[in-house]
Amino acid sequence: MTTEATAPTTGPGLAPPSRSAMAAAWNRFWFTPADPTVLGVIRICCGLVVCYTFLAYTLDLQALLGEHAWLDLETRQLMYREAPTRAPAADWDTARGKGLQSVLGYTLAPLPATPEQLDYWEKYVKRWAAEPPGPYPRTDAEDDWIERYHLRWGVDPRTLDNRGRPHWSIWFHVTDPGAMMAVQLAIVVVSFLFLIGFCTRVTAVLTWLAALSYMHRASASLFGADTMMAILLLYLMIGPCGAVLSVDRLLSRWWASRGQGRADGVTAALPPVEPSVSANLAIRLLQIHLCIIYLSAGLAKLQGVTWWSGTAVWGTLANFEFAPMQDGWYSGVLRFLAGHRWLFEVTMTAAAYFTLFFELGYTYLVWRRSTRWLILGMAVTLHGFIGLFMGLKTFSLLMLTMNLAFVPPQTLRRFLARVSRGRFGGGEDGPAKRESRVVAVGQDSNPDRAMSGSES
Amino acid sequence: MASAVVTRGAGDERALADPWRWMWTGVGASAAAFCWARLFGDGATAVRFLLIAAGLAGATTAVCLRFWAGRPLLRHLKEGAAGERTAGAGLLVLAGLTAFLTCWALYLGAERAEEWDSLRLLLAVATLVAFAASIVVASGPRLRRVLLSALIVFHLGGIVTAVLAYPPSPWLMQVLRSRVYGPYLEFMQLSNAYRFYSPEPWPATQLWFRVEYHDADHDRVVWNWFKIPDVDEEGQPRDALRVRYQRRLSLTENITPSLPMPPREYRDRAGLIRTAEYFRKRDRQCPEPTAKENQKDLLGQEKATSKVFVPYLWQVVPAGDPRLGYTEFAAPDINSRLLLRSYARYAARLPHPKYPNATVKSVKLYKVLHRTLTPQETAAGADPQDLTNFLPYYEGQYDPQGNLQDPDDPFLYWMLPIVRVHGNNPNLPIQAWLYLHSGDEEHYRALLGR
Repeated sequence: MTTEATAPTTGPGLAPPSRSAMAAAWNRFWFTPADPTVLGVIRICCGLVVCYTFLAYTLDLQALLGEHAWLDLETRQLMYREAPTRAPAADWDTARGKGLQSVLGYTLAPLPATPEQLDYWEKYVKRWAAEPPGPYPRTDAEDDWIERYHLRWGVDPRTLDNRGRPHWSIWFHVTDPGAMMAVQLAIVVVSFLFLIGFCTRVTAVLTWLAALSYMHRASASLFGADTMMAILLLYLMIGPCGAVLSVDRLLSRWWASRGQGRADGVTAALPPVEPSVSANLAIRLLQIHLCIIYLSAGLAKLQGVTWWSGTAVWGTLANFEFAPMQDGWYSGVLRFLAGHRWLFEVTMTAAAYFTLFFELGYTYLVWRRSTRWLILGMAVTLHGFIGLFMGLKTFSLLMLTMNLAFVPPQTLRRFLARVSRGRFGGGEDGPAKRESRVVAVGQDSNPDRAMSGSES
Repeated sequence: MASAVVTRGAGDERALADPWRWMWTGVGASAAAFCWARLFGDGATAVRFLLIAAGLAGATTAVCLRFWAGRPLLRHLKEGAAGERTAGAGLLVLAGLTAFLTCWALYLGAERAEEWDSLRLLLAVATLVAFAASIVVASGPRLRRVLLSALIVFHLGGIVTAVLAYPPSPWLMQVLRSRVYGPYLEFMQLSNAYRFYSPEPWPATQLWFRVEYHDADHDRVVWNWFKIPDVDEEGQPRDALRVRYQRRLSLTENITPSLPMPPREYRDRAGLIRTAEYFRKRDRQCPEPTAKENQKDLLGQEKATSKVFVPYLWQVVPAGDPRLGYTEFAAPDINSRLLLRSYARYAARLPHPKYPNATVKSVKLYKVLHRTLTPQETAAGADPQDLTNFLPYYEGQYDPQGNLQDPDDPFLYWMLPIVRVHGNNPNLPIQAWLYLHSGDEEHYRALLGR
């Protein structure tokens, strides 16, 4: 895998890139086979948080997912079946009318032509202080339904483009407490199998389905960690995250031993880790998604006054519900800071600017080898603080896990070899020779050579 | 890997590793489930669901055997002869067919369209994905790259659209979000705009419930207060797992979106300036009303509808008090109102801790903003848990079915101030109009030191 920015192919005195060069660069970026070790490590880190989160749902099965949960089934079903969706008008003057109607974005009912329509028109104007949209209801039942919808959602259903959301969940349909517990236990087992890398292709998909099932059902109790979990599980499902550091890998050795007919108990050597395009695809998607997340977070903060004045971080550190303010030492530190104006201002301003610099600069600095470790170090610092002092531990762990996508596989292999005392990362468990060549070529600035290497 | 097993293993192993057998079993079972549903409708549901489960299991196993064991789909784009590609694509088409048949096996007519609706959606999407994947698998390396590139562009376009369509947003992004990417992003739970702590960090919200019960054993009314998130007197979470506490905080955060505060006055058709109804109602319950219509010295004085009189916050705190930065009226948006009704229903199912046989009469709900102390206050040693740092807004009284009992309540969605009498010294008594309003007059007087 490569995380290097490609060398510039345009600039003063340089010819513009040819179409084939651009296509080659695109291919090299997305379709160069890569070492799946990074995905394996990400799977384990993410799997630990997923297992913990799913287990925690066991304690809240009825409170968060049951028929009579905080967000009960009836309300949730109303939301996904009926919630209004209105798209902006597609043109200045819609085909349905001009002037006022183009501003409204929907068709007003034609002027009443019958006494019934006149009666309806007058009642509607009196009731809702607006002219009714068209068409007039044809039956009393339809009229009742429109009235009920309007009362519930505050909008006339005839003004909408669509109703409902494409949400799905096993918990919309399994509501018996016993059956719920059975499904829940099955989900926890699946997530554990995903963590240890057993039948990973299958358990990755099932874990993703389970995670989204929770999210779509308990939509009122989600927070940042759920968002990040959905992203990570999606990309882990695409890539071969069970190719390394997994039970699957041990099983493949066992199968290989059986295939070679070894009855003497000597296990076969682990086959080399196969680099794959899907591993590269998953890592690239994760990298780019992460850049979008940080850039969006940074740009949105620029709208806030306190981020400019440097006091925003205080709003997070002194937030009683999130920060560990019940701990005496922490309150003492805050009081000490607040009691020394210079120290307070320097600390808060530095923290705010650090956050802005990190989030805005991440997209540009993480791709360059010279600055990558600096920005990853900043990520560890920022998310460490968020986890410790803003109470968002699972969120921070998942963000740090996402940042692993930018760690070169060689570095991870060296680290794993060190912690496993040489049992991983070198020798028999090392990547295939082809991958070594690919990585070497992938770092080459010449896209053509890179392509020839990757396709050899 | 498994391919080796297939060639060298025993006959039964070979049969088990043959994806086609699994796939035809899946297709057969799902077709049988489909026919069962058409012929017998809801009769012998267990058989139908058994067939559905067998169909899905067979198809899933087949796809896994083909694309997981030995031949990863994208291991190398040049891998696989044309025959293998066609076989793989065929298997995916059959998998799509299985999902399609299963989807329709769960459908029992328009009258029962809501049964299993969300899982039918999932299966319908699975059908589309399988058919699309079969095209990718069947295509040669060059076309496969083009198709994958198109998918990458579509996916990342959706992520960028979700970010840029967050208001204020360009028309183009709104159109893309609602007309192109909406279903994809919602289905995949990717619609977040990632605006953490933006534009400003905002104080946390709690929900306080006052549940009123009828104790039939003693023929009296009893009540109980409880809060989410569940914290003790010092504000320490009672939940052993942080993630549980966090989820309850999210429950409260989800009811904070409010409608913009409507204007206090408007000009009627005759050109006269009138006070808005929502404000006039609240103003009548104020010891010193400010609207012309409510002032005692004017003939047009309107009658109060409640026995409780509560001043505005700005009338009882000095100018410059940081609490004045918060709005005193915050009507929840439609989504939040639905959630509040649901929360009230949940609260109405909680038994009284001392009188478990008591039946719930009603639930009063207060959204309570927990103000973050300023650095100056922190330096001065202020206690963040002091009651005056909580800003309660009345969200209504609900019956056990979650119906708002009095939509015309004059205090509905208004702040009920909690302040210290004559200053901010922590030793001074507290005047908590919240408790006067909730019906806890004794507690109100105790805090006041009377």
